Amino acid sequence: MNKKQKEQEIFKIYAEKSMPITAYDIKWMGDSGKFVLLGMGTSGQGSFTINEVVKGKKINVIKSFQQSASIKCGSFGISEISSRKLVVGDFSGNFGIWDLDEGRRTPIMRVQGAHTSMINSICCAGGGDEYSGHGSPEVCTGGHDGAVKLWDVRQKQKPIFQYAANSQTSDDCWSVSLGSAHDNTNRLLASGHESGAIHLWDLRNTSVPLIDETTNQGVCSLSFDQVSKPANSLLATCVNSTIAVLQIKDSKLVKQDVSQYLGESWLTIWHGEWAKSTNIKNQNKNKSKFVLSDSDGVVHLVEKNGKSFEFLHSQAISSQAISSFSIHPQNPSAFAFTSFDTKTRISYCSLFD
Amino acid sequence: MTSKPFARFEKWLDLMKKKDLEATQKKKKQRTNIPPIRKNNEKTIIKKQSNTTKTEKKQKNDKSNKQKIENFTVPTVEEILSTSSEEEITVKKEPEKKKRISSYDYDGWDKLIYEEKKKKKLIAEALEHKAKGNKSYGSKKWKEAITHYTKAISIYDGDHIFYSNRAACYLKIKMYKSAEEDCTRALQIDPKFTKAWFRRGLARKNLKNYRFAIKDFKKVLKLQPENQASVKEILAINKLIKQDNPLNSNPKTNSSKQTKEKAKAKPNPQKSVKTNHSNSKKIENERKQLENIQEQLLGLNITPLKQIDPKQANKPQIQVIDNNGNEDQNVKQNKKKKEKSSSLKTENKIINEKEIKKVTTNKTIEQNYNNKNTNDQQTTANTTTTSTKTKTIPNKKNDNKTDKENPKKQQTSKVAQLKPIEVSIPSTSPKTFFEFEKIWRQFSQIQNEETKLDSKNKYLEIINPQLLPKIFQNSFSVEYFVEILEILQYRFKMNQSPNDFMKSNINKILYYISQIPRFSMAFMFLSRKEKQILTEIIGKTNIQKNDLYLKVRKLYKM
Repeated sequence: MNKKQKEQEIFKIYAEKSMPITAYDIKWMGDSGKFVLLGMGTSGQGSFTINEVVKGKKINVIKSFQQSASIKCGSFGISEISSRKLVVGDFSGNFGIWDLDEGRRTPIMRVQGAHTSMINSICCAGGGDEYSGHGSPEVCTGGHDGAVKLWDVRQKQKPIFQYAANSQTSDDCWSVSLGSAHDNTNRLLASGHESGAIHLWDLRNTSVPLIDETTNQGVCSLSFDQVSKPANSLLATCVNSTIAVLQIKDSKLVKQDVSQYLGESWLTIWHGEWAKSTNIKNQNKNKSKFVLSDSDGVVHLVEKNGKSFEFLHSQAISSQAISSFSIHPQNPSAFAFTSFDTKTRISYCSLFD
Repeated sequence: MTSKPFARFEKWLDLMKKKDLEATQKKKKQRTNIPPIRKNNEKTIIKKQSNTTKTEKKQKNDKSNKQKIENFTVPTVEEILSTSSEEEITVKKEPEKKKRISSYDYDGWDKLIYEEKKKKKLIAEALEHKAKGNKSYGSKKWKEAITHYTKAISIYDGDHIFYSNRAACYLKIKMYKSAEEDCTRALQIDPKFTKAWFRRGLARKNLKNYRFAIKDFKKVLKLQPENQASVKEILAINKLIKQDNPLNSNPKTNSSKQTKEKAKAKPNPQKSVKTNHSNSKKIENERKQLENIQEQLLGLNITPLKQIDPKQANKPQIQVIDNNGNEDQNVKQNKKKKEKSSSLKTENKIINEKEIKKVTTNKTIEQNYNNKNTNDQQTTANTTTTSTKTKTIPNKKNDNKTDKENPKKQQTSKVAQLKPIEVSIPSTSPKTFFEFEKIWRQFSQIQNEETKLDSKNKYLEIINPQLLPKIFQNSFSVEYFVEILEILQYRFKMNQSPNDFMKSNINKILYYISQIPRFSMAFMFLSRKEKQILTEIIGKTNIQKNDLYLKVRKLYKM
């Protein structure tokens, strides 16, 4: 690549390594340069590994944990950022909480039979600090059986809140997200389904969903722009090259088919997250910017202008789909990507520094 | 140029390493300001599909959502119902949760320890209330006691004694249903708590739920076989059953005549006993009855008192006559009635046995002849009862010839028929070698060889070939092998046509025999005869070359 091209690169890959796991999820670990890679191991069992990014462009595998059912998703956020407790959801409908500092080989707490089939996505909030929100520690799971359940960590027999769609046509819940936990009681729960339905509940009163919209394309991932402050908007990335942003206050859904920017109309956009920045100066600039990753291995930086989206930058990182990526909570310029070509890549984006 | 862009990143990495070390060494603080568990509306909202179009939906949603967000207050029930009428939301209400104290320790998530501490405090409180309850129970203030016990339960609901004590109070006030409920709750906590079983029995007795009351008292006897109070209760219940339904109390009688006769027969022996010895005999009777009851109860068959055989009822009469030397007129009449009843009974017994035989033979015959295309004569002729006749039927033709030719043989065959060894073919397959051997030996006692083979054949047909290895296990010997081969040869001759051959399962049986342990030993000891039989059965037939067939050929070295 030329110098110019290199300069034009915004997501500069610092280190990459191929891992023996087929990784479905990746998450940075707070207060450290480590990240966790979750997925299915070589012999079909579930495993996740703790890896560290080391000076000299290296990634070291520090520890690996195993369980019998292969793992689909995981999330930090149930505790403070310095005490690392990871919630892991797997293919058989169970989820467990692992304490990574103690290094126990088994989870501290396990909820079995949370869902009748696999847990598609999991999200936690209420750790007590600014990174994970205030209030009680809660876990939200969305399953293949179409149910969305909210669990409090202190009560594992029964979920606090359940949403079950019509049982005949079980609307697969592909993603869930918690946000806007700026208070002890405030919290928003969003769930995205295979039919494209997005439900948003205010957890102070869950009798009726706050917002009920559809994008008509299956929703792969959801992301609130703020966890510990009142959230303004919710990003939803979908199948067939569509993305949508929901303004919570106005309940407006801005939906667009962005196949022109992506190049194809049948791409699934696997993951999207709002970009943040440390500098106050940049915060205003980067208010409405978010990052997407699609099934071609391309990462995009997009900005929302009113009712349309503007693709600022696109960069091909991998040859296969990028199943998930994670932005470090304490350093929004550090990105970690996993893709189905077994490689994990750590990249640095100076825009958000 | 390459290092510059990552300079800041690497600095940050160094920072993060230090923080990481600190984080691992840091003691984890307890989080103090955690709010209680969300007491939210625990409803599962199940939406039905609505038929409105997309645009209509959007318009509705926009408007309604706007309203909701602007005027966001906790909606009342009316509001919910009015808004949800469009979308047909069905809401399932779940029972309200009990209030529980909530706080949260981060010390390695030692919830258990924390909860145990809590428990102890709660139990101590609850026990105080229980003590108050016990006092008021002692001073016969039942309702006060109930209030105390309910308080105790509300504080700590895991103690079975609270519930059973409250049940005792309910029994005194005659609130039997609530007593029963309390007892069941106590038993859920501790299923071996005899008091609760006993009290529940009492409650059920008073609710006229006699069968279940008896069951509960039975359990008391299981746990405490010396408990005589429960035995008395059972007797009392039986009396109550009598009073309520005098005719229909004994479900096992065959005819109403017998019940009436029994009902008459019973009180009479006790009335006839008039001497001083009578009291001791009454006590003896009662003891015998109790023993019978205990035996029967422990033998897990609820048989009320009435099923005393006429033989036993006769005994006291005989004693009366011996001691006094006088026969009461009543006794004579009763004797006659009993003789009648006994004769009736024996007749009934005989009839029953015959019916049983009929049923079994018919069943077995149906089983055996379902698959085969055999002589219709056999099916029609099997309406008679004795089983030897069925065995002789396949050889009817032969018998006819012999009748013509040799009347002597006819006589001998008749003699054989006159002394029938009634071996009925059982309807269920044997599970152990012991059972199999028993019945096999019975068959081998039959003198006529062809009937032997036929009966053994039928018996084999009952047995599932897959069970053969389990049945024989280590007891398989050459003799049995030889016998089975002869039977299979017999069967083979019977079923020459290809359809019948398939149904006759010869290959299956041979295969499973080969799976029996020590098969190879027995196979070695086979003589020429048997091997000829095998070649007949396996070697020459080219009917259908299944996998089974090929396997069998291999195993028997053809």
